[in-house]
Amino acid sequence: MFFAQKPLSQWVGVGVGLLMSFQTFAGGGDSSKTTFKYALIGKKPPKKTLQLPFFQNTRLENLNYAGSVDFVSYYRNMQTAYSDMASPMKNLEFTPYSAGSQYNANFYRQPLLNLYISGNPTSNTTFAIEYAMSHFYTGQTTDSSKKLNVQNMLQFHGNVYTSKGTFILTAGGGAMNYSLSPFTMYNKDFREPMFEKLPWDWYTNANMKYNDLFKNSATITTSYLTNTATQGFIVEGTDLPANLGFSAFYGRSSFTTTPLRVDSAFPVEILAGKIYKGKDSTGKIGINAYKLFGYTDRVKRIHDSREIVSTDFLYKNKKIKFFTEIGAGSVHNPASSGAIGAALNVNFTLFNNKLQLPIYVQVYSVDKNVAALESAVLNANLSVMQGGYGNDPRYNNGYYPSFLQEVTMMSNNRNGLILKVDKVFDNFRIELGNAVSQEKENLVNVASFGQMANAFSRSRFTPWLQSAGPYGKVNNRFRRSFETVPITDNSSYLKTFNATDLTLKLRLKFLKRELILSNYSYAGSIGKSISPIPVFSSSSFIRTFYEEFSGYYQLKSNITLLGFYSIQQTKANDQTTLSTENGKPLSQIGTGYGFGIDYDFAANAGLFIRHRWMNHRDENFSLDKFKGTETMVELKLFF
Amino acid sequence: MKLKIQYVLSLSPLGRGLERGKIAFSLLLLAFSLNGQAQTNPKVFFDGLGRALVTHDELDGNVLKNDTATPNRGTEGYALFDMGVNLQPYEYLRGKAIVRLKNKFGSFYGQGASVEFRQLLIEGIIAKKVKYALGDIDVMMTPYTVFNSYDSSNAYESDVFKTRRDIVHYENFNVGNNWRVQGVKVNSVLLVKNDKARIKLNTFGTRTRPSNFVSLTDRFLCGASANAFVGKSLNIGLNYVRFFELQNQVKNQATSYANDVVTVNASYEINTQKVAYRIKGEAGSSYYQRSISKDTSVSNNDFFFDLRAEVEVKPLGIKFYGGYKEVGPQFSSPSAQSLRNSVTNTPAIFSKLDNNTVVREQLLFDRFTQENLYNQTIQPVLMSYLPQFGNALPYGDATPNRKGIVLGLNAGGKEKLLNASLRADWMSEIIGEGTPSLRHFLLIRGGTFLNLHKILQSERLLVLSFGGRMEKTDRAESAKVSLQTQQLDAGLTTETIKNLDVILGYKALISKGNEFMSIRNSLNQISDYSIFKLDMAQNVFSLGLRYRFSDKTFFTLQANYSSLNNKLDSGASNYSFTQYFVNYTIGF
Repeated sequence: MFFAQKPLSQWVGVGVGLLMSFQTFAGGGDSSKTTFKYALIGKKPPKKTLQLPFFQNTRLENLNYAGSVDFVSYYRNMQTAYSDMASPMKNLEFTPYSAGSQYNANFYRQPLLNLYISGNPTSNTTFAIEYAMSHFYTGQTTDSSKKLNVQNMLQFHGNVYTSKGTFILTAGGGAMNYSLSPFTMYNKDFREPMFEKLPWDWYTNANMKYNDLFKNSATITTSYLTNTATQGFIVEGTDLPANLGFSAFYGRSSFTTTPLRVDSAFPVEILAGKIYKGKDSTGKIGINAYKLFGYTDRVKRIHDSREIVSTDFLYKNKKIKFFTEIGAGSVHNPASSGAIGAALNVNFTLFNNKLQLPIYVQVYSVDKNVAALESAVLNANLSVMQGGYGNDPRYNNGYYPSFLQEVTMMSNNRNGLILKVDKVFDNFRIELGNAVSQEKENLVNVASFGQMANAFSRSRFTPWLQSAGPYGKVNNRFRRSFETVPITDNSSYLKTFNATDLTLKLRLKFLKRELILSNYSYAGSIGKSISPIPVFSSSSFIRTFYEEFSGYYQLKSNITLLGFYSIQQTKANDQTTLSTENGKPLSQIGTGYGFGIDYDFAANAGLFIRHRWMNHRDENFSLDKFKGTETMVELKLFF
Repeated sequence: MKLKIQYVLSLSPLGRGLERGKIAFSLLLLAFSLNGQAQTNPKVFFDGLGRALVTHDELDGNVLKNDTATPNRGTEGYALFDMGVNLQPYEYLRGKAIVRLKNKFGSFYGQGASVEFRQLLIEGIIAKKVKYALGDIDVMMTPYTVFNSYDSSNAYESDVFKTRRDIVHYENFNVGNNWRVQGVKVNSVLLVKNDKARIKLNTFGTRTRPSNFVSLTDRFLCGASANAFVGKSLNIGLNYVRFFELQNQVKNQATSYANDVVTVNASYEINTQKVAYRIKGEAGSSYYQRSISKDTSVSNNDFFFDLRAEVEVKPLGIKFYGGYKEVGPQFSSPSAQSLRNSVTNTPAIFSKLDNNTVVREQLLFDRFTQENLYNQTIQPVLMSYLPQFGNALPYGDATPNRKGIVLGLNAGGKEKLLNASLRADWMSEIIGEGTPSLRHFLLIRGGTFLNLHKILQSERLLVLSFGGRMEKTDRAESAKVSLQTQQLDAGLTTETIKNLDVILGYKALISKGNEFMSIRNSLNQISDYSIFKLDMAQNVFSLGLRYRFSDKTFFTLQANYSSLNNKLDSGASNYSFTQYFVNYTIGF
């Protein structure tokens, strides 16, 4: 259990010294024979009076605690690299992202020690907090080498149980998970390679982890991926009469503002909510509302706001899961007229237990004015910016211009169709996905595609920065990187986007030990005309192919060996910006391969090693190249 | 008369300036280790407070005409958690540490997050006779020695205002009339002749300022008191406080300061079945020295006395009192005269007006809602004040250069239908300031809580509150002064469904006239005067909902409107702002 109550016996020793020093205070004397005598504090009765007043009030004697020790280190040795890479060619880090001087080195650490504490002061109130302790190993003995702060958990809860329903209040900071609907507040479901070690990885048994990943279906979204990070206040009502429920949120999301603007009391907030009837397990219908109130600055009273209203419907049984959301939204800022745009998302999954062939079909149409950075929809509307209108575009992590998305993702300013099929055998899985979409309006003459090979490593070359790299085309986000290519064709057209992926997973015995093999292939193109599959010809502005093969071999019950190979090839056509060196378009090839070891040396602890070689070059843009290796060592322990 | 030894302790905030981080967390770890090994006989207890708070402010009014630079919208807030770890390894030893986690509203993943070490307190009892406390301690003696006076706000304000003021007090370590200081205090009770008399002994020593090793010396506040309780009727006390700087500590010493206050307090009570008669008073002197930059032109010593008689009619639940007091013009008692509200601090919301160039003056609303406006240190020089918030007794009972009569009555009680009081202070100066003519002051204040649910015999709260404060300052001759101020408070708390309250409040402040404000130099002497003219009205109206999860845990949603109408300046000084306030506080 997350907040299992356990004694922190390992820290008993810390207190022993201080406890021993307390002994020196023991003692006393008999002064009863003197005319004057001291009142014995606590004489009637001693123990009761000795309880000092503040302990006589409600006192909390037990707390629940849990946490992790997570030592993580990255050593990167680059032979060639982008000229603007934030770190040196040889770089040792003890956190995935080097915060450097940004935000007082407080931003996004992977804490060495993360201690979660929760308590129940009363039967209807609880709190849960986090002490996140990071070490930078700078060699300094001062605090500059260490940070103690809170990253995710700083929450307080209050519950009210009545005959009419249950009401739950959640308030606080950190990152409170909140979800309404895909068009309003949700999350974006990017794929993570199985080979990568994720910071939120909670597994303590590597073999179990890879077996779970083997079982995961491409047609089912994991529930924890549907939340967005918020701060503020959440009120939820469940089990209300007539099977009704509601959820309301007031606060900010991680996209709402910037640290600098927070300090200046920048006026921006989100008010969102949902009223629904039914249950997730069987189906429900709901009305969702999302409103971001904001201004372009604190003086001019120019609005930077947006709103979305939608209704969603879910029906679910053993044979079918049907979900639809219909909504409308508008964006108000100096670059948006406030026009209302519509959005539709219909999807259903058919299950057939005999065939073991779930089929998922999704149709969507989302206007550019249905834009919430917290939603499941990638945002193609430039005027909707992370941190607010007018924020530094280099730090706008919420903009995906004409983006060749992964198969499972929606984008606004887009009409699209997604098809996914799983064929499930006991030890073999085939997952096929195909997405076709077309933009509703040609907003910008660029084409963007994801750099899937070595995405995590690339994202840390210039962390969080947009328009980076030698040609200003690289955009780095959390754990991923994509490239934006200018299009020189100024004729009238609507860009089309095709993405197809195929996942093959095989589980077998090799030398009496379990071996899991996974192959992921992705092909995508951005062109001018609609096609059912990606178009790999020069008619596409961008065409990219990614192949990733990985294997996981259980050498012993607690040791798993990992192997990994990936390659991505991307080409652009002549209607994109050409190289000034030879007049040819983008032509990239990137490879990444490596190995790893997962060693579970205790039931709740493991040692994880990853080493990769990475190579990237563009035949025509000579500065677009890097080559190097990266090693990751992680020691993780849960308690 | 029963005697209780009371220690004023709370879960509330503690001293600042301690190194945060490592020490704090070590204590936290220690706490858990102790808890882990002693589940059956717990010696570690936790208390604390969590708070999530967001305010949204909108500025409006004439002040924004032709203004292109003043921020007029703002949203800010935070979430914090104060974890109080209390360790009691033995019955006679207890330690307490509060570690604060704070996260600015809208800063994610560690940005805008901080950890503070808010309190460290060790308490113990030596040989079951002497109690001591070390670290961040609260000290209070008498209103003329060590006393953190309440500001001029009305005591009968609505719950909708009290929720805000409680936050400000918590953040500024204002626990009753205590000063939060850093040092040690020791107290004990001496029994005389088989408990026929008791002598309460209290002493403390604190450092209020460290040396900068160049020009500023350490500054200390020390005090001691002995209060003898003879039988059930008589109490005689002796109090001594010394506020001083170390001499010859640094080469370039800017000041060398010492101030001693010695007082005697006494009370005597005749208690019958129906009526209780009491007389009580306090008298004493202050002695002020400055060995550097010493000005010998004025006396630095002065005295005060404050005598009062009370009659309590028990069947009616009414207490009448009256008295006479005189506080010398040179009477100096920094630990009783320092103000908890600092008028030199700038309001955090809309801090500047007039194209973002002029610092905004504090409004009534600011003074009970803004955490940053408070003073937490004892000042050797009388602090500046704004006369519209209190001109007759700006420094509390210990306001120097005052003499006059006090009359008042108290009726009812907290658990009664009525809880009311009325008090009038007729004061005048003892010597004129800048002129031989004397100012005369009249201060009338009072109010009531009406617990109407008691009449209705309802379990749901229905409380009306009214409060008022009227002040008049006159100087008839020479530099004439005429200043009148009225402050009104009204409030309503009504519990709708169980634990869900609608809370309303209204405050008004009207002030008109003129005054000459003293400007004091570093020797605490008046060096100049500034002319102060007023003709303004302030209004605060608040409406909110509050849900009480427990005694210390509540959620509240409030809308507040505050306005300033300055008739002397139709432009920049006329504005209003609206504030929306959301808060969830969990206390334990």
